[in-house]
Amino acid sequence: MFVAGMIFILSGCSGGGSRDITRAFYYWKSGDIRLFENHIFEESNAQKLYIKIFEITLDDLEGAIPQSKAYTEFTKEFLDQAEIVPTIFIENDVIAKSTTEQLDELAKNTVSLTEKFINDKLKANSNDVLRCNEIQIDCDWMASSKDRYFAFLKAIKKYSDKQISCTVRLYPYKFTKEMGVPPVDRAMLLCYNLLNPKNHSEKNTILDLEELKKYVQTDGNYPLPLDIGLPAYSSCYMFVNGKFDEVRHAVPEGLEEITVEKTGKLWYTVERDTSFKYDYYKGGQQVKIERVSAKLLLDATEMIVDNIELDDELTVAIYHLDENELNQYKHETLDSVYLLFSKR
Amino acid sequence: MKHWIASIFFLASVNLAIACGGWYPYGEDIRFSLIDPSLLDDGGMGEFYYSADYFSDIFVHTAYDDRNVDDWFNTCAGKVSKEDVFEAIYRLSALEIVDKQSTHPFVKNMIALGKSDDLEYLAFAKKYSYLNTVTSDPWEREEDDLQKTREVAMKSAIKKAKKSKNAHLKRRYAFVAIRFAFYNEDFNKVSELYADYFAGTHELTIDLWAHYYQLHDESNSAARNFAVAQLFAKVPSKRHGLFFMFNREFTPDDVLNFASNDAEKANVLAMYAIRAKNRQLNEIKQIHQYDPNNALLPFLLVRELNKLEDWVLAPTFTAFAPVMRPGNGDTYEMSSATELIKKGVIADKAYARTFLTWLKSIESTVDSDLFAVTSGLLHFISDDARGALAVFKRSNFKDERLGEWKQRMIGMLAIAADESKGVESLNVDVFLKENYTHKDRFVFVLGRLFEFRKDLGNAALFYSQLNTDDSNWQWFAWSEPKGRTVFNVSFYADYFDYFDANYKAKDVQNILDYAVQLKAKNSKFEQLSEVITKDKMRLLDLIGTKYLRQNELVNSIATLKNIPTSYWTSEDTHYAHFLGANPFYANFYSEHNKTEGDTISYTKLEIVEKLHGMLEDAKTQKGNELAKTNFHIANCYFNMTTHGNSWMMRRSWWSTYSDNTVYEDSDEYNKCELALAYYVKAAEASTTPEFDAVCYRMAGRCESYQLYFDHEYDYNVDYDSQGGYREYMFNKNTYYKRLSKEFPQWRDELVTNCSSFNRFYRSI
Repeated sequence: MFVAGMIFILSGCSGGGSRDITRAFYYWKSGDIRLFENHIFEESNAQKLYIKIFEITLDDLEGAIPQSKAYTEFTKEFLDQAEIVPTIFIENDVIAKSTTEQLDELAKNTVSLTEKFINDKLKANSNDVLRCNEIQIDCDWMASSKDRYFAFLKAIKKYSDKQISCTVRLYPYKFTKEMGVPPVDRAMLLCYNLLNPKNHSEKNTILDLEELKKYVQTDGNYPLPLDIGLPAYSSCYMFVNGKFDEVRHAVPEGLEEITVEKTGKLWYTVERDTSFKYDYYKGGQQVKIERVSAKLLLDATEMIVDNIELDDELTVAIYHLDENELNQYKHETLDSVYLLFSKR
Repeated sequence: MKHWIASIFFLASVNLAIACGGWYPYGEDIRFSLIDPSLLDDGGMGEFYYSADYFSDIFVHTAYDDRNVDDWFNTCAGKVSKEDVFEAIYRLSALEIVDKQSTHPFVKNMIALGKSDDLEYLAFAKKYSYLNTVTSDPWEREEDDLQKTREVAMKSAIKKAKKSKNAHLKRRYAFVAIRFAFYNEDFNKVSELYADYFAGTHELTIDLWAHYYQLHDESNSAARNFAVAQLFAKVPSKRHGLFFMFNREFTPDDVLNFASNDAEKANVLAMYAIRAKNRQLNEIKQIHQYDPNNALLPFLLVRELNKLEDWVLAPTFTAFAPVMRPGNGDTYEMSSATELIKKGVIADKAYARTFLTWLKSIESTVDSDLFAVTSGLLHFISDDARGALAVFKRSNFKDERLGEWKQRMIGMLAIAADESKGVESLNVDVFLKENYTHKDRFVFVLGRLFEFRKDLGNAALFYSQLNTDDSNWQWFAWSEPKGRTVFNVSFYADYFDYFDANYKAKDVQNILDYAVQLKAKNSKFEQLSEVITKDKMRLLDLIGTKYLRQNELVNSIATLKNIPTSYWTSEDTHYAHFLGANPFYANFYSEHNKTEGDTISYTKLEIVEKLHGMLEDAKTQKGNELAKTNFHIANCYFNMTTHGNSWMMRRSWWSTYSDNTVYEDSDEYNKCELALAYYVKAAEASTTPEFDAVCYRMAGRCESYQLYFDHEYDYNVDYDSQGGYREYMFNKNTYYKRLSKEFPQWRDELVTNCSSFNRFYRSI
């Protein structure tokens, strides 16, 4: 049934040559890549891995500091097949509250620590060769902080000999006049997380085609070479006494089956006490489950391919390489995502 | 005068922070528990207590729970106190340790024992202790230098280890070397040193610590899990790190394969149970079967008990959903979730009974304090207060703190079991004394138990003791199942608000009378009745207000007459400042701003008296005289709503948001129903068309508030095609329609000309 659907999708693509797609994944965990994740990476013929190596946050005493550092160590076998793109997430607050001089120093520190990851920390054995041509900065910048953020990006470029890319959410993609165009070599357009979960309780805030459509249709082409990021993950929002408590990712398959009734679109009430692996769900608990189904993912891919002007060569990255998320997708689904981009 | 309307305002000094939304009770604030697990534990498992926080208490070493202190205590032949040992090994500097003239008991004694080598070791370890950190610079810019220093220090330590003849010192130096290697992330070296100096040795605490560091070099495997579990049971100070090393993706069976005896098996199973949020009785039984003396078993029993307190006692007493079993209160189908929680409570009570039965069967293997606490509370949780009371009456706690806790349990259970009827036989002081853990929970439960018995007087006395400490921003709060309270939040933190929302004027009067009588009767109840008796005027004001809300003006006047005039002018109540407008005047636009009618002001009593007088006058009046009186009555009713200048006649707080509340006059307050009725009555009595028109205009204003309150902006309606939202609402207004139909010549002037009011109002 699914394969038939996939063939239909692919046959629906118009001809006209093909694009050269670099298949990639994001890796947003700090530990080592697991066997199954390695298997998915290989099976998908992926060649590039974006790994979040640390996050930059503001500390009351120490100012801008790196936290949540990755302690991932890649094996020689993995490094042989994958180009690594160290990715650094920086909170907008850091940008907004720093002076240009402080941002210059921050860029220097960022590049220095990133080099340390490239040369040492990410390798299981110091003699192994890690291929890295690009550093990516991830920031949800605001119109009010764009000048400072762009100054930070320029400083990163000044101190690094790598290609610099940055992530771009759909809002700055569409509203370039307001949000500016970052001074980087490439931009990774993140086609997910379109909505704030707090404000849109009835919608799938990871991916919603109606919302996506609003953004991918623009007046002109984006002035930077684009790569595309797509979601393959799930979220479960948990509520205590009607107040948001926590969000869990990698929502287990079958969670919906232990719910008593759908209390609203995407909303469920847990019927009975149940343990899924390490997570515990109590009877009466309210949960909102957001998943990106294979169909939704492929429909979104089609919409992006149909509406966004893409170069002959680009990277398509799936977020993210996590066995508990990706084991809910068939190989064919992920393969189709990459294939849809390669067709013109 | 009244240029004061911010987003929310309070008349008296009530819970401003709550209603402003600055604080919402959550997580540990509302987790219900009567027993503090630390009373039954040496603190070694503090981080893992049942808690809504990720980690509960941080483990803090003391001289009495640090096994390294025990080792050094033995080294100095037990000649000095453990406090001195603790101070020497953790607080003194390297120089102080090797000071031959030192007066410190530990140093002096070690010198006397001829153990200068041990002191030299301590000095060495202290000298380089600054290197025992992952990094000192988050950007790792100086990391290379640190690494080099650690390398040098490690080599030096190894040299000293090799040279030392004393087996303990040999291992101590080797341990220091291992730690340097660990922080240099040289795990191969860690394993090499461990194999050379420690393998299989578990005599000293540092032997176990060395093993902890060595485990980081082992691959993430079921075998390592097994080793982690064994170490976790023995080394409290490394439990935090060990907890994260334990990989729960391996099944218990995978790990149990490595156990060679039942005690080891028990340690493995305990690792899986320590953070489980669900029922773990079967696992606990299995651990007990393997090893009744398992080190983590007492902790697991108390944790299971704490879960049941959360699952059963919270919904029963505070009406909050269990912290670890969320659900109640969501805007989505709250009722179904509440029903599920009720079912859960029934099932969990049955579970508590099963737990209790098993616990009794193993009583001889459980510490007597632990058994009494757990079995007593399980009786209470499973609806057997008498059984619980019997347990505590015969218990003889070794721990002094538990002895005091027992007094409170006995007092509370005597009420719950109906063995004590009121406060007379209650040892109130043990509940009201300062600073004991869960004081607010105990005080609240007592109040609730009285309330369950419909003894509101005593219930109010205990509720009034909650949150009286202004310096404590973390209040105790309780919910109520209807989802609405006096404020725009769904919980209570103040007895006054609770009784205001849930009970009638007569009930509040009885509560006040009871507190006053109790205080007069016996001085031992002075503290208990203090809050309510001090609040006497506020409560009388509330009672009068409640009668007013019911439109029972005679009763309201009779109550308010008991309040001295000084109350209305007191700085504490703010009435003098905020009740300074003329409630009998209103025009088309008057709300909270100053108007030309504000030439006179009244106290609350005077307003009710005057309103009552007008209502009486109206009974005998006719024609335009009656029309005018009804118009003024309508003005007064209007001004006593949220939209008028005298809202404080009905409420002690005001918000820009019009909310449904539990008050019986919620509709009247938001929708001006009485005002509308009297404006219409005024029109009916009037013989002057211009006055009829102004009455309809005012009635239309009241109806407009109703329409906006009942019909929120609907994004699915195409208002634009109907002239916009405001026009749409205007066209729904029956009195504006009547105005247009009956007085088309004045309609525009009355609706759009803000200065037209006086011309029409003065037409009679």
